[in-house]
Amino acid sequence: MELSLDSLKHRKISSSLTILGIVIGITAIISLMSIGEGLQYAVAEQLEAAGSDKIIITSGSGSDVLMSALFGEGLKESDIDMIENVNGVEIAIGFLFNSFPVKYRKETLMTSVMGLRSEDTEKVFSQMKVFEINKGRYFEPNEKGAAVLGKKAALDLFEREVNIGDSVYVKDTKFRVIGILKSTANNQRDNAIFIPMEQLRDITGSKDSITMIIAKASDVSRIEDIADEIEEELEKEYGKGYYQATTSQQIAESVSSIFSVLSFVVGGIASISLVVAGVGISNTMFTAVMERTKEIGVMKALGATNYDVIQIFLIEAGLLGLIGGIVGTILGTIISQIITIAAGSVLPVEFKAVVTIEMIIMTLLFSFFVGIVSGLFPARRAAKLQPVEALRYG
Amino acid sequence: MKILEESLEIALDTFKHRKLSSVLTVLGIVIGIAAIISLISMGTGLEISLSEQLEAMGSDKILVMPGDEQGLSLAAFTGESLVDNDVEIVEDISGVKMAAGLLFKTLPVRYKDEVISTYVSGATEEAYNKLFLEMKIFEINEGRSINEGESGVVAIGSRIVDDIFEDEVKVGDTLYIKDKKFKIIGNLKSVGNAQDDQNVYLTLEDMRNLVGGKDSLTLIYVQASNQKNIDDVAERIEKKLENKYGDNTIITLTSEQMTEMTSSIFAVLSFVIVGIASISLVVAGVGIANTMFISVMERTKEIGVMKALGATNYDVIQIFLVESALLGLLGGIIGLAVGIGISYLINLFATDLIPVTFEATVTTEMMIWSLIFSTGVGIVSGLWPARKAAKLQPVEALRYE
Repeated sequence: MELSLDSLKHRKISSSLTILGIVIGITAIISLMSIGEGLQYAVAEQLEAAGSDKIIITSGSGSDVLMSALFGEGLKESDIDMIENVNGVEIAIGFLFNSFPVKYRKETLMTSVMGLRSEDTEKVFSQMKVFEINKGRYFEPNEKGAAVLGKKAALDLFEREVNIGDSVYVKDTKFRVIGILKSTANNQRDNAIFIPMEQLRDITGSKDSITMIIAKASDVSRIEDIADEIEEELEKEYGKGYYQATTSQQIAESVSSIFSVLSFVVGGIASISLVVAGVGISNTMFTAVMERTKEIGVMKALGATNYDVIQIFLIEAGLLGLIGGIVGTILGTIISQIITIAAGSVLPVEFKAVVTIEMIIMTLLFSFFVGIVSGLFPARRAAKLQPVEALRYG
Repeated sequence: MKILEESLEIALDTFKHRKLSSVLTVLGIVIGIAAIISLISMGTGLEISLSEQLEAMGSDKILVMPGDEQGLSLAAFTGESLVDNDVEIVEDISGVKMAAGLLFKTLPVRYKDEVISTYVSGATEEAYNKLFLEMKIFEINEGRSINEGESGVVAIGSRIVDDIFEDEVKVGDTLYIKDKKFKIIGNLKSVGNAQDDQNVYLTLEDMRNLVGGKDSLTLIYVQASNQKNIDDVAERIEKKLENKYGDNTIITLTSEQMTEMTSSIFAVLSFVIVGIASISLVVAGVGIANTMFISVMERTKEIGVMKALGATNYDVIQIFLVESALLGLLGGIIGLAVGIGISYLINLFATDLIPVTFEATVTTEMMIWSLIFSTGVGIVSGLWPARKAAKLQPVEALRYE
């Protein structure tokens, strides 16, 4: 160990350049992965805000939950009651999504329009708390011509702020704004306009299809079983595979698995630079072995075994990697802080680049490992030197 | 010129002497350039195949959808503000040869015991004739198109045939959409994009029976009579429909705009990926600097002799810069060859795994740039060591052991 530190001091420029290679690589990996990790947290937080006791029922199967949640209309209104009767389901509500031109004063814009059954509004707003009213109120059963606006739909969508009592037009049908929601941290919902489902059907002409049903489980610990039961119930009615019940946790998992693949790919590309840095370590170590041929000869003549010699050089190479890893981790963490600050002023959503302890441990181990692997070949060469030859060298 | 030649000779001499060190230094550049070349080649390949797809659609097409000026939003795909008679309105606009409307949704489709959510589109016979036969946006592969008033029949996209379901779906087989029975009367040639190839086409009437809806449409395909003034035609369509629906409610996309959109997405993607891969070149550059420092140190005495014999600072700098530039260039050449080899391997193996067809492509531009870039990295990395060498005092240098 002392020997290694000694020789590192001696060849200062060479060692620091070698370490610099690792530093650059690790810095890049840490800062890129911190972005991926941060995105994952942001999504998870959003989903958590929706509550961990929710089950989302959409048509379709397998990986296309998202697709059918957006475009599908395979469910029927009567399914809501059926699901509500499933054991373990506290309440269930249905949504019908669409996009329409919405007019306020002289401005017309496309935005999402969501239909809610007026008998469900009580459940949506006060029991399930999928949305919460900020100002005004929500519609009453059988109320017509009333709309509730998402926060952004009221504040940002149109040039002028929409207030309670104003009128908006959805495809020429007039609606009076009776309430404005709190932000839900979901862009689409915040930009949406909520109207009674019956009236949305009048506009679109659709019969009884709905896009999505959200059910609230009475017992969070049994949520997976309840989701299974809902699926079974729907299968009895329609056949296998038509419908899918997904818990909020499953959605969070599938989203985070997408991000981990992304992080993995980006991290992988950035790791190429670590391989290059490793080659740099090998190079430095070969030079070190050459420079110290005589020294090695002396050591061996004094009884050092091959193993001793290998150990000396491996520790040196490992140290080069580890020091690079430590400095790189520190720099990467600083950069991720800078990204967080910069993102705050640029991005509309809250975003924080996150460096986890796992990431730090993994990168340190990785950099040490790169050092060791790069040192193997030079160290073996040093160990194989014949003492007599080595002493004669130079 | 003489000195340059000599510098080259000296450099080659040095490489021979410190073979292992030079090889490892070059290896760094090789890895970096090979990574960049193979990554860009995939990006370029994807871009080329996408623009080919769009070109196959013809450069005289315009897509009309609901949406605002921010461009393609969710609204464009979920919106249904267009209605049947908008097709006629559009067809009456000067410069429009023909137009066809489509209503599409995601619905569960069952074949044998398997149910998959996929796109289902409805259109009139007239629209199908236009889409399949005249505009040739989609083309029938086997079987036939859908006739008016013919209920309970569908034509299917190429991915429905052999990708989506476990068993191959044949013309004559039966599909169930939302429990209604449909007979397959035709299948389509692949248009190359996953969404269109994953579509089930049926009559507008059947579609409206399935999902409800009075007269709404999702989008309208338009063929311009002359592709020269296609942008004007698109603008006229947008204006005409916005007169009806209000400002900022309709967007039109010409084939060219679609191509531009996809290539700009790929440009950004390539830029990010290459940026990340370039970090390895920076690291390789640091390696070159390192090797050069060692080389300067080893040859301190030699430099002293050269300077004592009248070599200028500039001569010394040149000798070392040529050496480092050569390291870079050599790495670039080998890296390029390896990169081309990898992109060839990608074409051999990876295309089976990915649903889109593409061929990783290495353009001449890419080759030239990678060589310039690697040489540049070599020169920049050599600057500092070369300056150090030039600054050595001859007397001091000669004394160095």
